[in-house]
Amino acid sequence: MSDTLPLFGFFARKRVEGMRPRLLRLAYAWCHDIDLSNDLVQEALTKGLTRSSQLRDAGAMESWLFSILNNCWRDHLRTRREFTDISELDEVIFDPAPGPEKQYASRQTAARVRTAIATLPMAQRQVITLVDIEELSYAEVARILEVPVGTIMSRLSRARQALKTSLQTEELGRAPLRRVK
Amino acid sequence: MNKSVSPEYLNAFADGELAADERERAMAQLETDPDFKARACEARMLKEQVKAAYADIPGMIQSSSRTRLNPVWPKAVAAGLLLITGLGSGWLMRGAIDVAPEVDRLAGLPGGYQPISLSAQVDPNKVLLHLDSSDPHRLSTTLDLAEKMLNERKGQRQLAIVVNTYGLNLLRQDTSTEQARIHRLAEEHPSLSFIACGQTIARLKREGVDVVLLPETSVASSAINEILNRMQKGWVYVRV
Repeated sequence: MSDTLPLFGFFARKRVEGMRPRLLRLAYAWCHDIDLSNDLVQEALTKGLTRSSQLRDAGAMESWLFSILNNCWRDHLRTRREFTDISELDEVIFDPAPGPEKQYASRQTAARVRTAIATLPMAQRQVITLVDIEELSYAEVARILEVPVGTIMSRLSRARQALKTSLQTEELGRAPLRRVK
Repeated sequence: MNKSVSPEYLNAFADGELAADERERAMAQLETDPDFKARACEARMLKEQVKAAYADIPGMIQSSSRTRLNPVWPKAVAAGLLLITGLGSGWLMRGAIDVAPEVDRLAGLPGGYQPISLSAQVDPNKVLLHLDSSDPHRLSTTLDLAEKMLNERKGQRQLAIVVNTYGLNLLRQDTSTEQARIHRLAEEHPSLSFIACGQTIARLKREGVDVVLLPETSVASSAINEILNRMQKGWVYVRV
């Protein structure tokens, strides 16, 4: 397609490159490591650019890039942890603490939420960040992560419940709540 | 907690995933079911919190072309609160929820706080401060703000401090670190009221906590209802 329509190729490249900040935010929400996020996004963009001629529907570009990013992330986890079973991978919690980047959180609340997100199993973490940060529909998230919509809904439900609990527990830890009897 | 509404349904509502007819039913339910309203509101706020938590990430260069990236915290959360509750009353459809220009600079309110009103009918002399955190700094800031804003419009201004969730600590005898000051403020300013969320109190009691409130406190059925009722009457909302 890019052979016959060089201009389409040019604009597609611009649009793919323009997605960098959003991909970076998402990658960071998944791994909480800015260097790794940059690497993942670079890899995803490179793949996206080399394959941009495969993209028939320009409107689907965002989802398409998110799913490339998801694949890069999964590949990374597989190499690092030597996992072969995806379902096992989904249940694992990575980097429970958000680490030194905490200091970048402009406000305490953001840091608290990130800490809570970091305790979620990866499968839940990916769903809640795609739904909340990117505001994608359940169907889109299901396509990107290649799981049924029902699974998205149950993961989201567990993620929000866990998040709520961990934010509340954290507050309770700080609050001088006194139980009587 | 109301078991009649499943978490999946609640999420679908908060995420805009319900079909049109279901959505209409849910919005009607907001009006009649305070528990559903509170839970929907909570779900919506959680969503906003997650989004805002990643608004700024390390090393992110703000692109000038595509900035869906810059929600200011208090505004994002307040907007989330209003969005879900406001939908039920149809305010959003009329585009009435806004940061009203006439209250953009509320007398006595320092920069960094976002006054929000329903622009149809707004009275800058009626101000509602909402506190939902037990952070000691925010507790004392709430009282600082209240005092400053009352002194700015002496005798003309009505001010309500509405607390829920962990903000309730401000008004509980066994947790409040500001009892003396609250007492003094209440004596000096008859137009100042302290309002606690009835649902938070009920929840704490269910958990076995003995809730004894300061004598200056009155109790509303729920903080969200109180906030919305007052805003409908022209009060300006500020989240501390």
